[in-house]
Amino acid sequence: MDVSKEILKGLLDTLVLYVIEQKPKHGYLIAKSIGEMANGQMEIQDGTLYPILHRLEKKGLIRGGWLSDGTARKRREYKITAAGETTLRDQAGQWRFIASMLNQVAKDVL
Amino acid sequence: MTLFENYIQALAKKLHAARAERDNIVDELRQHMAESRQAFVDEGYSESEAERLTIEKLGDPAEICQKFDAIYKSSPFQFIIDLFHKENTAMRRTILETVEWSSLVLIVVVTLAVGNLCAIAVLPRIDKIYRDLGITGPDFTLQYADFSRYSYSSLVIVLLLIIAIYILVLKRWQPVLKAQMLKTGLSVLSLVLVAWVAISTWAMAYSFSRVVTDLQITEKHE
Repeated sequence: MDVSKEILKGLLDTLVLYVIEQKPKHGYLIAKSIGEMANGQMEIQDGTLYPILHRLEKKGLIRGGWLSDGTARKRREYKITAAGETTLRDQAGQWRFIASMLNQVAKDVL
Repeated sequence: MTLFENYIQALAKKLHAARAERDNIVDELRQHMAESRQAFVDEGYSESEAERLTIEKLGDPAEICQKFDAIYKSSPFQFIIDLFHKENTAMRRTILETVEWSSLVLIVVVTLAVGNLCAIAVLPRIDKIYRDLGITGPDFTLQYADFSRYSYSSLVIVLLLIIAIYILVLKRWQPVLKAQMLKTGLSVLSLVLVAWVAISTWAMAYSFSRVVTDLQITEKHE
């Protein structure tokens, strides 16, 4: 399903916060988790994820840190902060309200 | 150059974030690309096909950079450009993409250095200028010129040592990407030159003012 960029923009912040809240993750895993949630129905470019992560980090909603797995390979893992958890709850509430309204619209239109 | 390196180069070139942030972004994307390629290879794709699919999935580097630019505005000229073209992002982007800040600093440094060299050339002759104007006084000018030269030369050496230590620490704790080494070198060189020109210009101005003051004191005594 093609989801318009405007809708996706607001949705991605919430999805990223949600996925990180479940368990701290690095970029690739976050992209993979969101892809799995969308069940292949929604095409998200991996590159768009990183500016979102950096923006959320700058806002203090998540915190990133480089982790080494003992080899030369390093990963930047993100954890949700207390402010991020509050924002996630806030956004989830807003989405629930929007979803209930849109459900009504979809029921009438489709 | 591999497909990945081309992509990273294109991205790094367009990013306007500060170096530490840029390195973070590039390292993170590199890591993402390596993992994504491995996942595609595990699915049965060839190495080259996996690289192509990874890049396709990442998207246009210019678009990614534009999004990062909205988060990190670190160019020293950003505020000047913002003053004139707050709404004109296309022009702002063109300026920032085509002009390296280190090159601009170098131009400023060269201009100041030329001016400074002129001052050095004039300073030893200042006694003659004063004599032509009918002012007589002790031969302080050459003394101050030598003092200035020695003092800022010492400061340049100290600055160079500090920067050398900084580079050593930087290389040890935060590996610098090869592609960025030249840029880093140029930026460091520019900073050294800026410091040198600032110090030497200040020393020149100081010695000129001291000469004038000393001449006035001598005249009063006479």
